[in-house]
Amino acid sequence: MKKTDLDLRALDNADDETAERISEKYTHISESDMERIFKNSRKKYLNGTEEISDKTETGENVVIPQVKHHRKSFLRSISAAAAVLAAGGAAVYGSIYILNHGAADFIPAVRPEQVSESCKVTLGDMYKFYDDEIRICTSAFVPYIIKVPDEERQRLFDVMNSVEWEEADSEYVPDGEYSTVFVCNNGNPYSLKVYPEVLVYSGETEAVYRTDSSISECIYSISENTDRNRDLVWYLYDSITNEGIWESRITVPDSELKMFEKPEIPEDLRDKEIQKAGGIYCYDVIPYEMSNITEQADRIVLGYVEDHYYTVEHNQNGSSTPMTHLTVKTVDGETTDLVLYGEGYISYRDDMWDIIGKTGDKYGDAKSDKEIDKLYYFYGYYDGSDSTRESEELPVPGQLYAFMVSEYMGMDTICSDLCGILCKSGDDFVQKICDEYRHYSLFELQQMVNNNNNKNSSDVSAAASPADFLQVDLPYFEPEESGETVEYTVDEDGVRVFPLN
Amino acid sequence: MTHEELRSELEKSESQAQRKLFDQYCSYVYTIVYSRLRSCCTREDIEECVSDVFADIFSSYRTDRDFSGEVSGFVGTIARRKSADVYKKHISDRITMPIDDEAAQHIAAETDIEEDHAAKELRKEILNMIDALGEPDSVIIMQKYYFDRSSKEISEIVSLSPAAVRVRCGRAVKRLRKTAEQSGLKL
Repeated sequence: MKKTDLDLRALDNADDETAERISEKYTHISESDMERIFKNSRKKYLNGTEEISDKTETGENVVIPQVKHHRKSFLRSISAAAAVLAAGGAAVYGSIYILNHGAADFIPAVRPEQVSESCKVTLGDMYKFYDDEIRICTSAFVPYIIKVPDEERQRLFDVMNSVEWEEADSEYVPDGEYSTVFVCNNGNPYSLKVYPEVLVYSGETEAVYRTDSSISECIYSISENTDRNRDLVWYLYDSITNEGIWESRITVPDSELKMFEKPEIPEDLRDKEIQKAGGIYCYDVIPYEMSNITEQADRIVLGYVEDHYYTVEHNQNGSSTPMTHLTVKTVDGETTDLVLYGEGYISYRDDMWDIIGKTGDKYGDAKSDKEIDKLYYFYGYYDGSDSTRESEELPVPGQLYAFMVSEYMGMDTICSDLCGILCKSGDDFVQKICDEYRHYSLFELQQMVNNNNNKNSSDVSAAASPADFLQVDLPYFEPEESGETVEYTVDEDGVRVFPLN
Repeated sequence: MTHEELRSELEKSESQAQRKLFDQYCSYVYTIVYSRLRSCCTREDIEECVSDVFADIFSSYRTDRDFSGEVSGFVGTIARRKSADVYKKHISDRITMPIDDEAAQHIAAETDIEEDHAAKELRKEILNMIDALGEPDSVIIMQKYYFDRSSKEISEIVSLSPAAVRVRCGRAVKRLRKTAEQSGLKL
């Protein structure tokens, strides 16, 4: 202790009153520390009693009876089986069965370190319903899986830890509907199929247990109470497996998420002089807020970008529009063409067709035909920024995206360019606006699109008009009634002739 | 929380009851354990001991007993005994003395009622003086000199910059020493 330090050793070994005063005003434990301590306490409480003796070292009797193990009969049998396996190295499944019938009323927990190397991951260890991660799959929501909130998870664990389970034969498994609880226990994934009165464990082995209906009732109540926008996570059908459920939750920080990348210049344009052009739209009117984008979109396309190419659309009035096409393989296995309308490469001649035509194939500083043919413009993709900054990037091939799509000019057009392309990251889909990342669940996005489509269902075709695409509310002026009078004459054909001022 | 409330919570849900008990008494247990072990243990050891205390509380609480009144007495007793055990374990690693050693005969008994009372009064007086500094100075003094936290850690608790914490701490120490001197105490 330094000389300048205050000596508060007098407060050591505080009595009740002092401890209460200090704890009320001065003891500060962060939430994360509290959480850690609590989990540690619960773990110690659930794990066993060997370390807790009847006597403390002070020699005083402390009322600490044997910890009650809250494992049910099948858990005890599994633990016991593991212990037997450690000694004899017998087959797991057989031992479980044998021991289940001969197990004593109370069998102490087998701790992992007491189990031999060959059977370290015991079923008994896997069945501890304490801090495991779980997700629930019910037929009502598939392919959405419920990401169970902590408080609901605890509710389910309490039920699972309190009901009586009995080992049963596979013939007890009914044909009807079931829910699946996917569990991740310290990196060991397994699942429990929950029928009204039967439970099927599916991990490294399979086992059937008879129980009452409280678990399925609890799952039903969780699925009813779930905040769907927040807790429903979309999965590819193929990934709804014991392992797949947990693999897809692995995510990277937003800053490391590579949503878009700059593609190479097309081969046929490499000898051209390419200049960046200003945006074809007024950027003030392109929306980037998801609520506005979903108003435009009539559906969400989920898929992987396989390729891209550029075209130019020649309009009837002689003007031309560049387009970028993304070849997308949807999660349903179909291939579709999604268009970034108004963006991409366009030749100077196509872009300036009307002006070049009017000036005898020359323009401004009198370019030669060769110069005109060599010159191309590139219209960048709107990325939520202002018109001074456009993106040259496109979605990365092989990554899964949600495209907000509306039909425009007979094409599936991506709404708001890059702002309408959301990349899957972990459980969410991420929208990038300039350098900002916004997370959405697919369920939430789908709801937004559905709600807007329902709202506009009476006028679906109107959504395809350019004004709607740009989200422009065209101003409406009510003309004032004029008090002036005009005299006119009627010619011999009956046509009214107004005098010109 | 009373025993009746705890029993009723345990009937509804064991884990939620334990959570409530923990949330309510975590600071209290931590303070008891910390005040006993701060001189010989690391913060990690102290946290470990707090975990042990709650594990003991969870496992030893008997719902079939008809206790009444506040649970704090029960919680405090387990916290004191557990921390005493840990303290002895740590101390015995450093000093061992054969029981038949002559010097051992002169070791004072653990409990001295008169001394305990005097120590309690002293603690009360010191806490009164620290309280009188007012917030955030009292918090800064306790965090710095009792809980051994750095200025940076304290700055997060009192929402001041680390530099401001250091300045206020220096001034508060001077004020506290002055008050203590007037009361005939040396801190």
